[in-house]
Amino acid sequence: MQDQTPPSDTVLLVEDTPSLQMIYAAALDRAGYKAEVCGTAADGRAAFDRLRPSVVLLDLMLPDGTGLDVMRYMLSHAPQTCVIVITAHGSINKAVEMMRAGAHEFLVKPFDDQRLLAAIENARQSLRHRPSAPQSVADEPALAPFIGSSGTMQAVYDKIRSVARSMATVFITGESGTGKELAAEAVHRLSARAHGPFIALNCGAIPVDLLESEVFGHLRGSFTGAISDKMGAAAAADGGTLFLDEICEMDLNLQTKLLRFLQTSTITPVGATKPRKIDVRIVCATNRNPLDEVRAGNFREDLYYRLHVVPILMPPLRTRGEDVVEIAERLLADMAEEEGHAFTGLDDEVKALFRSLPWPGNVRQLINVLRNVVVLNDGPVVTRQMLPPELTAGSDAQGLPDPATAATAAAAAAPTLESALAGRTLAEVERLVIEEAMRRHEGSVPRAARELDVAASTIYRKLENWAKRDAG
Amino acid sequence: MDDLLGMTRPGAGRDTAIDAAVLDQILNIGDIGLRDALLDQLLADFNRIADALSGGQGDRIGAAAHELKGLAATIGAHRLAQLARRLNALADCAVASDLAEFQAPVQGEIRVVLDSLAMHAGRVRS
Repeated sequence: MQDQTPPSDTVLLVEDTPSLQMIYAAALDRAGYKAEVCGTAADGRAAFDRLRPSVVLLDLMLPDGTGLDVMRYMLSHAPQTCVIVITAHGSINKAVEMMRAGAHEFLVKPFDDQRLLAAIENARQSLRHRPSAPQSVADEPALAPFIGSSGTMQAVYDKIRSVARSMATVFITGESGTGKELAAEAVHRLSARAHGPFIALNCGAIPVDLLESEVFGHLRGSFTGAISDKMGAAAAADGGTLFLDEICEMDLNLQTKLLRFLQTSTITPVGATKPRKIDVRIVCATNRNPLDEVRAGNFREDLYYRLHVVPILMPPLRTRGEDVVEIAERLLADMAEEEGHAFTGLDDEVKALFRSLPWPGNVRQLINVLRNVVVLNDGPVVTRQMLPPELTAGSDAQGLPDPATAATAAAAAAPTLESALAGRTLAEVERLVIEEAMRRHEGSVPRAARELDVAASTIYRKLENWAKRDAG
Repeated sequence: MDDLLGMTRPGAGRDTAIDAAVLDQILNIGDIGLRDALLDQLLADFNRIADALSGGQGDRIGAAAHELKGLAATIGAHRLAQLARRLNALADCAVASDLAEFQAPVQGEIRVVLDSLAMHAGRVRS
């Protein structure tokens, strides 16, 4: 039961060790914060009910209960509360559990008063930028700019909305073309950092030698070709969000530097001697299975656990039910307007076909198909004859099944796809898709890259990696 | 190597038990009254935790070690914090008899930290 009591400026501190209570309370007092101090879970709940503080500092372990239970109680009564979890070294897993349950941030003991005050100030800023009345989720079928109101996507929207309010690192996984960057942008847009920059960096598209400079920046003269100072992506994202796409492609040496950056919130540009403090939220993404990469030794385990705080899995288009038709119709209207063609929708046969296709390139592939249709045809309704032949190849002998046949084909296609992909990792599926695209284009990397809407360099790099792995 | 074994060095003394810079920063967070009260409270807390460790079973030892690692790290008692971390981790999985072996060095280091705190209190109050 949520209540409407206005939040108080008093910071509630729930910590059971008396000397730590004194130290934290003194730091708050010196910074001008009014604080209420409690030593047990029961006292913490009672003080929360009485004061309705907007910011709570909460110890993970209390003599009469866990911090998790206390936080759940607080958030169930006042979801806007910013709970900052205090934890000891070695309890990171529990802190991660707290973040997933809605904590705003966590502080690992020992921390100095500056870190404590910065966390409180972040929390207060987050409250200031938060909408005063929570939007009704039920009224919003989709989280813009996403299209689609399937159950699987509703779960994704809910997760994005929940995680946006905290400082937690978000790890987005999903096949290529499922909207990982859109999800990252949505997390940023709904967060208290929305007024800050959103900087996206594709770790797989930048040569290894340049990646450190791209992330952390460099000073003039620090290496051959460094003709001027360059601000890296991390510094450019100061006060906002840094999105690291294709994180599993990052070189192991740079992973070490990224880990240090995450631990200290400081960066040292290439050629610089002094580190610089920055305030950045990290969102990262990969189309691989990150744990497979850890097991294969390609991704640091400690970095994985540092980044994998709140995972979001973007579902493939083939599992999103009616979304494929909804997306297609919306995109068709937009593209028709752009191209000046009078398209009004998809015929039933095309709808049934779209529902049945495996869409290995997901929404990105659907966009390409529709663009092709809109550019080459005048409308008014998309028919099967307008679709690129490679899309419908293999559907049936005549290539023109009636809607009922197409629906049957949909049912039949699913198990075929399932059997082809069953037991495969994301990385293996990605390799299948790329190799299949190259086969269709007679080995042409640029043409396969165009179809899959990725950079040719990405495919060349992947081919090189696969060749190395196959050889080794 | 001693740190790797999680044992207190035989020659480890009061002067190395607490990082003085860290402790001073904490003690100077308020006025003299707060400093004195905080020193008293630290002594009381470490004594209370030492008692809990000596008389406790697995769960209680784990809880005491958890509290100890946070408190020790906060005042700059790094060696004690490391020993407490090890004991806390062991308390989750080890049997009581095995725990006893690891409690002894923790208790020893708590005494060293208490001595160091008492000395520090005497110095700043004189």
